Order: sequence, then structure tokens, then C-alpha cells
Amino acid sequence: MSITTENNEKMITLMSSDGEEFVVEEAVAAQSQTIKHLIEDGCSTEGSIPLPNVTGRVLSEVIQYCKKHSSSDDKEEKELEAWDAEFVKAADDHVALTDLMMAANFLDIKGLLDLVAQTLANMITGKSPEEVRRMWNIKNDFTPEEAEKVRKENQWAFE
Amino acid sequence: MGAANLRFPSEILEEILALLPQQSIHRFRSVSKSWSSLLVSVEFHNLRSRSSPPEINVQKLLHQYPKNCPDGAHHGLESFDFRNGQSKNDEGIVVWNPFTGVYRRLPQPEYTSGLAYGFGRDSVGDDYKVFLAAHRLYAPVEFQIFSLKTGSWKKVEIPSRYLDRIKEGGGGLYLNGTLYWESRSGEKIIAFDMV
Repeated sequence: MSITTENNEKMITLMSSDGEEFVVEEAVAAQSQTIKHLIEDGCSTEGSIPLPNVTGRVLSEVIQYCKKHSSSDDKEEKELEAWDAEFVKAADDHVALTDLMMAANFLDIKGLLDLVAQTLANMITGKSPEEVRRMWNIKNDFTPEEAEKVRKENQWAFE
Repeated sequence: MGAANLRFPSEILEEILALLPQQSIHRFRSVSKSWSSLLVSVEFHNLRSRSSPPEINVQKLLHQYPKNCPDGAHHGLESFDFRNGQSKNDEGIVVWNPFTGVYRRLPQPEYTSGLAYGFGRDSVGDDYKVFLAAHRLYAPVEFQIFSLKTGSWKKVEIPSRYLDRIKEGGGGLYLNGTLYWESRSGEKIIAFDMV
């Protein structure tokens, strides 16, 4: 089932993992290489495209990004950069950004992936290993001797 | 703000970490074992050199490494992209891999004056070697060669009639198994086949 708008834009329906439906222009959805290939393979003819790895909350953010980026051309690069900066700021914290990163990876949207990766990298730059562990819930699995050795080898980076 | 569970597949984590400055990369080797092994892997450094221009400040490294070098030799010189140099304050010669940050301080060679140096790979012996060329008055040109494999210096004399004087203080250029130096007169290139 596909709907056509007044200006002949083909619409498709995306369904999130929690059952939320989003009707978007095909050109917007096709910013995602994953969805683009699904459309090309004829997977959208049977109603909506299910996206089992993406929740409705994250999907709505992703669609927001894709809409902006499909409607802007290269001349608006500066404006787009500012918009991107606001967009990741609105994503709020590293938990939301982590979700966004996972979605961008699954949906294969390179621009979004790069944007979020850079934001996350900026967030941990200058942090201590302890802070990074806390942020991302990583277990310190070094023995005290190993920890001491690794730290010594990279001592200059702590100064 | 709660903690995110790090559910990243390693290739996504790699994408993020590849964007970090060199200092953070070294520091985050202390985060966990999996981060540590990811951050020293060749794949990671390949990814990193693709995604960002190298930001190695050789002068800075020259001075920082000897200062922080703990006693004892280090192993794991796994990549072929090394630089070598002498520190200004007589702390000897240090060989390090700027990508992994692994370094090693070499024992003092016999002669330490009037030197040109070089570093290269001996593909036959599967070894990396440091070269120091010493010119002493009325004596043959002497190369002191340090093998990273055996961990010791070896001397090779070359009668000076075969060789123009190498420009002092010159770092040799390593290319395809041969080290090249500029001659003192600036007119010749002196080549040394590593094999």
C-alpha cells in the first residue's frame, strides 16, 4: 500500500519496534540506506516497513533529521551545521545519543552516524577512565597489577 | 542522567574512539581490557588514520617519552611505523611507535658523538634496526647497529674510501629496505642496504 500526496510524492509507512507508525515521504526515508534497499527490494508494498531495532521515540528523532537533510541543499550548509548542533544538543545526554547512534548504524544513515559519533567522542575527550566507565557502565576488569602497568605505559597521557 | 549500558557492537565503539585525540586514546587504555586491546589494534589505527590526519608532534614525543620512560625494556613493537631519535638531555636513544605509543629505550652505544642515525626494517631477518654512524678522526666509518630482536649493538666498519662522510645529525630516510643519508657535501646520497 502506498499513498501519494498532491505533489506526487510517494509516501511510505515506517513501524517502530513498539508499534508506532510514521508516514513519511519516500525521499526522506531513503536517506537511510537500509530502508532504501528495502524499498528497492519491494518490501514496502505490503503496508509498512517494520524496524524491529528502533523504538518510536528514537525513530521520530531520526525522521526529524532525515526530513531536514532531504529538504536542504548544499548552499545551506552553514545553516544545516547549526541545525545539526541543535539537534544533538536536544538529544540531551549520552544515553539518548547512544540510542541514536545504534539506530543510525542499523538504518545506515552516514551523516547522522558521523554527527553522533563526533558528539559522543567530544563528550568523553578529556575525561578520566573512571568517568568513562561510569558514563557507559563499563566494568573495570583489570587486576590492580595490570591496571598499574597500563597506566604506567601511558603515563604521559594523564599529565 | 543514568548510565547507558554500553551495547555498542565493537565496530561502532571503534568509530567513536577513532575520533578521539591521541592523548585520550592513550588514557582510555586504562578503561577496560576490551578497550585496551581495541585501542592498540592495527585495525583501529588504520581506521583512525583514515578518519583523521595524524597529529603527531614528533618534537613533543621526543621530549616526553624519555622523561616518562620507566626502567626496563618494553615489548610489543608490533607495527613497522617507528620513529627514532635522541633526547636532548642524554637519556639515550628511544625507539617508539607513535601509533600505539609503545616505546623502548636502547642501551648506550659505545660512541655517541658525531652521529647520523637511521631506522629501518630488515625484512630477511624479520627485525628492526637502529643505525648510528660514527665518524672518528683517522678511522674507518663505523656503523653501530642495534637489533631490536637481539637487543644488542653490533659494529660494522666500512673503509672510508668507499664512503663520503654522512652529514652529521642527519636522520636517514628508510625506503624499501634501504637507508639513505645525505652526504656532508650535500652532493651525494649515501645508501645502506639493510639486508
